[in-house]
Amino acid sequence: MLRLGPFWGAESGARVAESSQSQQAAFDPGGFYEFDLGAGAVRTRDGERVVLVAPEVLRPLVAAAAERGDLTPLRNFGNGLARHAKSSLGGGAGGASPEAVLRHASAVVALFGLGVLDLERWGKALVFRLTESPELDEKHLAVAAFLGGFVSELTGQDIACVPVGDDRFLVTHPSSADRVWALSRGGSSLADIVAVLEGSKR
Amino acid sequence: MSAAQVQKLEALLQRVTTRRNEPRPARGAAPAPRSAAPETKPSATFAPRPASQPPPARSIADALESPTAQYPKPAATKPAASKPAASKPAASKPSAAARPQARPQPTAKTAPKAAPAAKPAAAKPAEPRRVARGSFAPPRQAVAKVTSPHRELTFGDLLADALSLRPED
Repeated sequence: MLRLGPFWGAESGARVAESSQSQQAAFDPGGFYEFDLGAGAVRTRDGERVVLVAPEVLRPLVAAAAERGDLTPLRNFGNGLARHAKSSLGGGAGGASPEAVLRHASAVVALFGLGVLDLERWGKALVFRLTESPELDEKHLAVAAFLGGFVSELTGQDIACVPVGDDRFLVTHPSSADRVWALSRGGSSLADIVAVLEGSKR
Repeated sequence: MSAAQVQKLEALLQRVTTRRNEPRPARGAAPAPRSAAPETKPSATFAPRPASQPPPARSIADALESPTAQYPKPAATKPAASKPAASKPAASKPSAAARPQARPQPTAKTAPKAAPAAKPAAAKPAEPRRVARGSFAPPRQAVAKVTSPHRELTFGDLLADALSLRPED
């Protein structure tokens, strides 16, 4: 398993691409937020207004949206954070190294207080891991929607992130998301799910 | 000494005296034919020589003439006439200790080691360089050229692999 930490390099020593200086540079959190006390607003350095709320306030709202079956706002929220990461990265994530993408993406996620983002590779499967994140719903579908929107905007493709554990989310094609979700709900481990995806196990 | 022995000695001395009075060939000339030797010579004195053996250096008369001269070796010490074959094989077939042992053929590993030991004096000191290194051009430096046959992985590569996984219905 290849595991990439958010603020450090590859732990497996895999060769990675470093295509530009911005990708090699660390994410600069300095001046990311602008607090305008006179206007009573907090804005990001891109001018986007944000609201600071406690997780206790956010949790019932997210849970209600998950029960209603519409997590589009959270997906859009992920899109917005990915734009920050792309801006810091200097472009799309497709041609960048996994380390560079994770370095900038995890920095943005951390700036919004959503936890520590890691990247793992299980065979060919790609798995995001989000730890230290506030629990928003029991099935972790809110974070799945947020990460799906985040990676889709980051890569320019429709991506689904399916919960496969307490803090792991499998990156898969949207057409395969229901099958993966069913396996995960059925108690299959991540290794078993990956084996099913690779065709070695039915 | 018995009377018979005394008579023999007298006869021998007489023959010797007679021969001394005869003209002698020059030194180095062909020795007198053997048939001329007196037949009274006791057969036990000189064993018949093998044809291959050279004639004795001195005759009996010469031996008697010089007090320091020595008689030829006794017959007992000479190879017997009936045993020439026994001495030949011994000469042609030396013992295993005396026989020169066959040298082992030097192998590829031992050959370079044996050569300097056999001829230590042949080793010549290395000749000094004619031109110091780097006199006319900067010395070449080894440059490690590392080429990778594989392309470096990008996040897009990882994502493409992940999206290629589709469960079969």
